[in-house]
Amino acid sequence: MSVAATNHLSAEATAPAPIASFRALRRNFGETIALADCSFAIEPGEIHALVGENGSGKSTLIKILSGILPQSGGELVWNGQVANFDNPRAAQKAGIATVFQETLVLDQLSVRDNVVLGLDHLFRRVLSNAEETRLVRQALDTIGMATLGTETPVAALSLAQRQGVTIARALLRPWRLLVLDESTSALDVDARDRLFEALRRFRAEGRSILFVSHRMDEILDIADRSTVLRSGRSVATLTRGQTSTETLLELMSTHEEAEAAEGAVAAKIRRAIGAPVFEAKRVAIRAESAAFDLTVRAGEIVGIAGLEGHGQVAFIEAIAGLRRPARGAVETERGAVTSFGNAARAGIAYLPRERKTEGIFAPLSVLDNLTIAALRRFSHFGLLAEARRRAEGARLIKQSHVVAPGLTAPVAALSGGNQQKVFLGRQLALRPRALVLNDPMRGVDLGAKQDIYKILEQFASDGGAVLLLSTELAELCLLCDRVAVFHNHALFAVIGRESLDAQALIAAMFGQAAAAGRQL
Amino acid sequence: MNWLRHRLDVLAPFAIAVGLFVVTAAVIPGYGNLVSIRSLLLLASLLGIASAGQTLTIIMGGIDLSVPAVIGLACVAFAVAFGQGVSPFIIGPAVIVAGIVIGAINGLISRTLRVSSLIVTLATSTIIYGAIWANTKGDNRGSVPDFVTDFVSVIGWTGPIPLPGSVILWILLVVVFVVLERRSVLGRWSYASGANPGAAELARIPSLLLWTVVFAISGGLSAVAGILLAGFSSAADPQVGDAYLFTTLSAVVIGGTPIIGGRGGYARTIAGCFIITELTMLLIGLGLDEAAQQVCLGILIVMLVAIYGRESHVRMQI
Repeated sequence: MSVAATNHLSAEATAPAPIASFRALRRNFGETIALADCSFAIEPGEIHALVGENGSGKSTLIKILSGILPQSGGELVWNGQVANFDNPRAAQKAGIATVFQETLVLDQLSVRDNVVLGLDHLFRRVLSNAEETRLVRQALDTIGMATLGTETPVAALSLAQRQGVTIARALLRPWRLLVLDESTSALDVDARDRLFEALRRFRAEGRSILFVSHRMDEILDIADRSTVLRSGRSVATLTRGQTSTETLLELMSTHEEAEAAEGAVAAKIRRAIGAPVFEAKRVAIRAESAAFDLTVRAGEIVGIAGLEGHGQVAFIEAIAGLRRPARGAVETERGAVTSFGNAARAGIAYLPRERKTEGIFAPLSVLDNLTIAALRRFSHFGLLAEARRRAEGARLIKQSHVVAPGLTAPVAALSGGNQQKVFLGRQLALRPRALVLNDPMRGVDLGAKQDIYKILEQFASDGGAVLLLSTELAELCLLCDRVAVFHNHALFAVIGRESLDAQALIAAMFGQAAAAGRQL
Repeated sequence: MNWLRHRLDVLAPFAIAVGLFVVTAAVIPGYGNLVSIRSLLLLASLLGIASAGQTLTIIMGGIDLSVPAVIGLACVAFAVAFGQGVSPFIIGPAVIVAGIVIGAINGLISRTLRVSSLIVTLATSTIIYGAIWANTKGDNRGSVPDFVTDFVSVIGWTGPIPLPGSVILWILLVVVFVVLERRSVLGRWSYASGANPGAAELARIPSLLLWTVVFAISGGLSAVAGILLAGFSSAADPQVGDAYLFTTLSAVVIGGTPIIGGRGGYARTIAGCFIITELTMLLIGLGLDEAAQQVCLGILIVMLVAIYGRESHVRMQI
């Protein structure tokens, strides 16, 4: 440790050129801005942490750096020269090794084949078997996984070991900057400690590491400097001495987003809270994760938050009957939820996340799209009572604030926001007692968002229960009576109206109990 | 503007059908006379009956390649059994029920095993052809009752109407199918399922039931077509439906129902049936032999579908 620190200090004294720097880097997908303005530099021999909540632009930045996405504007300077990596190979050749969040392994191949993946040419092997084995062994050794058999099929490995394989793969090539995108999340403490030792050795050699993690303790432990991203902007770069959990959480919380959602709901109307509509009892999302209870009552809007992949999606899918929890049960007045069909009979309607692939029937009319899930209600011996169906369609259009040229217009002719409202209207047509929504405001324009807020407020005021998973924290703060925050595949905290703000949510998402005002 | 384009799109195949008739009448002497028009209607009606179920399966996002096999089975079973003295009022319904059951199995297997209906219906076809052979050993002697022959006779009458029963049946079928597609739960489910299969289950459409019923309809109508073709050829011929694989699919696609489903409809397939029947008659009228007819028909249909491929592409863009 002391060697590394000395090395680091002397590096600063001579003020070498940064190995990589970003200057006003920008990236948009259509109208969505993933990266607005990102500027910071990574020094040689530095472990640099990148911190931010979901959608703050971390992954986009890493993809640009790794040659997967081109930027829309701004500059990426690599080793003193402006660089544009056209493809991942170009970035690799320049000396950037990236380990992605997903464990990209081929199950059928051996550990050795997985680690050397991409080294060979199409028809010609570059190395002999023995040579490959030696290199793989060495790479696995570096990260403390020396006991892993090189000929074991990857399918037989644990998640942590697979993660190790992807890290070893990155280490095999000559590199000057190692990018770890949440690569430690699957590792156990022991493996992580050994990886950190290796990272410190690399740092001592003058090589750099860009490190993304959602664990505050890891960041505080290993990062020399930390850059905070918020809504696609780099808001601050902190040195080791300045970094603390409180500062990081404070910097990650957005203030401007709250304004965007402003004016949507006239006033916080106190709704009458009624009887439980559904109850999650001793539910565990995974076999090894902690069990918890959550009751949602009539007239309530309950938010669901969590960093991506922390079990919150699995939880709402369990409520909707799309999957069974590892343990526990979801109970309603009309029995336990065991399938998508019986969830519907119990009055639970579910709005899937992907409007295009899971929602809209593009060539069909607005009327068909609104009523398709409830067609049986208009059926007389299989034939449709068309007048009644149209009347219901007209009512749903009004209830869902849909702007459409007519009931018979194809839904594809509507704007994305209006399509989303039609999709929501389809769930309302089922006359549910509870709405379970998987991120309904994602990629929807501001006007439509406000309409959706109104629909949900009205639904709850009429005695419905709403379970709202959202990645937009300002929205959760605005709409919800309380928000259940998930961490490590379990309910971590339930934050009530009185202490509900973005900062509390982020603290809980990052597993910071005290800062979240944790209560369960 | 969109409305106009949509209308033109629907009307285009009908315009081609009419145009083709006018051109043929000008080229081939005697083509415009009453007998020739009646035979056009008759042949189109046979194709139309065989294409009805196919249209619905394609709208739903499936495909029924067992149409020719079921036609062959129905033809042989009906003619052979009648030849052996079984009442047509027993063997007729029995054959149709068999077609319905085969279709239902097609739909059921495609859905429960999540195997493409293309493979399932091809497999069913092979099984059916094998079963026919195993049971008849190639001895396909049979006969057909006169009323069935009259039903598909060019000079046949239906009561006071100077058209054969097959044409009247087709007209009724068109009415039933258009209502089924537009005004029934089954119809709307079919379109939705074809338009976005991933969303269909989440929209609480009972896919298993839907696929089973739609394929059963297709199987039942193929069996009806088989009985009519038995009357038309007055023999038990297992190969009688072979041409109907290509022609039913072409009629659906030329009519303007895209092969991926979700759009189109049986009304459009009517135009497709006329176009294909007219092309066949034109080629016969030009004096081409059987082999040359098939070569030309293949080329012409690919050309027509190519035109349609482009148009549906434009349609997708709006």
